[in-house]
This record gives sequence, C-alpha cells and structure tokens, in this order.
Amino acid sequence: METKEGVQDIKQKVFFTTGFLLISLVLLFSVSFASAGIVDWYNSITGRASDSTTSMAVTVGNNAPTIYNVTMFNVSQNPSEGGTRYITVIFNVTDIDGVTNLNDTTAELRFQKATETTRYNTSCVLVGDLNDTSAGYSCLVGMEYWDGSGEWTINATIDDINEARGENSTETFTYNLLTSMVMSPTALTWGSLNVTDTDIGSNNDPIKINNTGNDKALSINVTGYDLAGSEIDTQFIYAHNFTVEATAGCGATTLMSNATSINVTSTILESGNNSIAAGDDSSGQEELYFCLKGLPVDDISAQDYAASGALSWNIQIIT
Amino acid sequence: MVNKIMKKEMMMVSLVLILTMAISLVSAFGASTPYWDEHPLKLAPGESTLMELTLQNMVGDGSDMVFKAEITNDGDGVAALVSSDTLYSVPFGTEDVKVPIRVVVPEDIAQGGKREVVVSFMQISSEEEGMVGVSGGFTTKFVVEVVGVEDSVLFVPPVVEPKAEEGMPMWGLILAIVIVLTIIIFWILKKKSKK
Repeated sequence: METKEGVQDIKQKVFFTTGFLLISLVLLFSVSFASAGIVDWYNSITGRASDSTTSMAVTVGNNAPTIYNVTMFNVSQNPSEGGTRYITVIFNVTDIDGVTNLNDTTAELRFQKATETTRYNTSCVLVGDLNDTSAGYSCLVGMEYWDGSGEWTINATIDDINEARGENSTETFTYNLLTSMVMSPTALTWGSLNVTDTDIGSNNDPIKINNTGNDKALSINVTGYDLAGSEIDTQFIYAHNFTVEATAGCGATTLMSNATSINVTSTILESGNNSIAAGDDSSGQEELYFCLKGLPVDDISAQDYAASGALSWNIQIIT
Repeated sequence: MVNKIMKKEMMMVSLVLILTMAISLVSAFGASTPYWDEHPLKLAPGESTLMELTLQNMVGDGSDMVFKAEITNDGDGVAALVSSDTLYSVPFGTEDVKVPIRVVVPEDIAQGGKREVVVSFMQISSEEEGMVGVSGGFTTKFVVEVVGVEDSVLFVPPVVEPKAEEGMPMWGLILAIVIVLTIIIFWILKKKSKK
C-alpha cells in the first residue's frame, strides 16, 4: 500500500514537474519572438553569436565619437551671383565616454565634389550639449559662384581628446546651376570721324564680360541695330557697318546684322574666379572689341545717329 | 562744299558726345535653375509640376533691372511660363525673383525621351534719347526627362508602417491556459480520488 502511495506520489511529482516545464516552455517560446527567432533564443542561451559573421574593432579604454543627424536646411542651394553662398550645416555627435571626451575644436565640415576645390570650415561651433553623451555642432561653409553645379558630399568630422576620429559622409546637397554675367561698359564710343574713314575701332572697348555664375562654356551673341538719324530717321548707319570680335583691331570678320543675333565664334565664356583678372578662361572673362568698318557713302546727313531703348544693341550669353 | 564737310564732321562730334554720356555703367544679372543637362527634371508620362528659375541682380553699379522672359524652346510643348506678364523687375541686391514654369508631360510620351526647354531673358533698356546703349541678356535651359513613375521627382515612396511589437502570441496564451486548467483539473481529480 505504501508502495502504491509512493508510486502515486512520484507520479504526481512527475506530473507537476512536467506541467511546470511545459508551461515555462510555452511562455518562453511565446514571449516576443517578433524580431528574434528560436535560433536567436537558442543562441542567446548558448552564447553563440546571432549573426554568422561579426567584425569588431575594440579600443580599450576609449570609444570614437559617432556623428549623426547631419542636417542642411535646404538641400538645393543656388550660387550667389559673383559672390559667396554661405551654407549652414548642423550635426550631432555621440561619445559614450561622455561629452567631456569630445574635442570641440576639432569639429570640421567639408563640401566635396570630384574635380572641384573642397570648401570647408575647420572651426565649427559647439551649439550645446544634448545630454551627457551627445552634443550639437554648427558649421558655416562658403560656396563660391564658380564652384561646379551638381551633387556635393557633406563630410563632417570630429576627434575626441584621445584623437579617435568620428566621421560622417552620408549626406549630400545639390549646388544649382547659375547662368549670369556682369558687363561693362554698357555703351560704346568712337573718336572724331570723317566720312571717308575706315576701320575705326571703338575708343572705349573692349566690353568686358565676367561670368559671375557656374555655367560653363557659354556662347556670346551680339545683336546690333541700325543707328537711325535723330532728325532724318530714314537715314542710317547700318549695323552691318560694324564688326565684333574677341581681339582688338579691325581685322575681324564677324559682321553685325540689323536685329539679328550673331554668334561671336571667337569667344567662349568659361566659369572662373573673376578676381584673378587674367582676362581669359581661367578667370571666367571675355572681351569684345567693336569696329566701324566705314560709313555709308550715300544718303547720310550731319545729325545724331542713335540706337537706344528697344533698339539698344544686345549682348547675350547663351547656355 | 566746305559747309557740307563741316556738317559731316559736326555729326561725328555730336555722336561722340552723346555716347560718352552712357559709359561707365555696369550690367549684372543671372538666373539659377534647379535642373540642367546633367541634372534633368524627371517626370513620368501624365505628370505635371511647377518649377522655378530664380533671377538675381547682386553685383554691378546698383542699377535695377527689368527683363522680358520668353520660352524660346518649349520642349515640344511641355513647358510654359505661368504668368502672362513676362516682364520681371529685379531690383539691385535681390536674388530671389522667381519665374515659375509649368511643365506638363503628355500621357502618350515614351519613357526615356528627353525634352530641352530654353528660356531667354532680355534686358529692357530705359528709353533715353540720343544714346547708343548696349543691353544684356542670357538664356538658361533645362532638360525634362521622361521616366517611370518610381524615378519621377514627384514619386513619394509608400510609408511602411512599422510592425507592432508582438507580445505573447494568442496561440501560446491559449495553450498555456489549457495546460494550466488541465493540470488544475487533474490535480483536483487526483485529490478527490485519494479521499
């Protein structure tokens, strides 16, 4: 009898133990397998790594900063005509060794693009600490008007006091295309003329044209108009009495034509730093020289001849 | 005869004086565009959008400028100026005068095609008498590329709702309850049978 009771007691214990184990297993399998599978669970118990391959870099005693949230308020930026476009970028840095471990003076920002000069600021400013381990920085970087259009990479870096570097180059922005120019003077003069004179160059040319944008290889077209007499408006000095060229003198062959846009084939306006003042492609500059080949021999009176207002000559850059 | 020659020479002198009045002025102007040859505006067939050119007048001698805008190549009808007033005033020191352009890609246009749009700006000169002035102008152009819907600048990727974190699945809960109930019932029955 005692043996029977003992067997029953053992059965009861086995039963309860089994029940307990079953319930525990069910609960274990049920709890939040949303992102981790049974294998992960197994691995977590055995200590086996969850991923098949793992690479680690461990610096004993120091952790490099991590840069994140690199933000520009407008990722499409227009160049400023003949000037500098200043662009603000802010970014956050986390260092698990604490914000005191960050070397604020090493916060730098660069705008990079292949074949272009890198624009940078090596004196970014600490905006403030976000918490014990994170801080925010602000950088102002100037883009020049001749910098190339297209996608530029934003590169942010910072060191900690142990010279471990954090770097982020994940963000980009678009630097737009600017077609622009500045030209001077806006009128031409000739010295005293005689009706029999020929090949008289303007005495205040060239008209200097600076490319104040970043559009490259621009053509230059000139539209001339006949100069009408101020008193007898049926008399003209014709547009085709003038030539225009990129070189001084009157050997030019580009004849102007009334109300017709003529390409000055000897000119291509490149982009460049105008302040170099080389007067050529390297500085984004071109010059136009004008020549009066001669006056009409017939039917011309002594009076003023003008082309103004809507009939002003026009110099156009063509992209 | 002498009188005639004198008149001709006088004509030239007066021309010089008048022209001298106009020198030493500087014209400066430009327009920026968010799209160009290497950075085309990508739209799918049937789509339309509004893009803006931005006029600037930042350097020079401080003169205000007025430009007449004209689309000289509308890309086979895909582009048009929004405003019927095509004169744009650009005061000195400004860099944000917008020129809106409506771009509409027809439904029946094939993907992969490109349409070039050219916009011309000509300076409107002041009507000063007796002057031979030289005004400025420029063109700017952009390319409209016809692409699939997902490559369009207007395409907004569907927002993927983050999957709610799962707690204990329903089947697990039910199974656990069944097992617990079974054990309790079995245990009660056992106790009764003992008595």
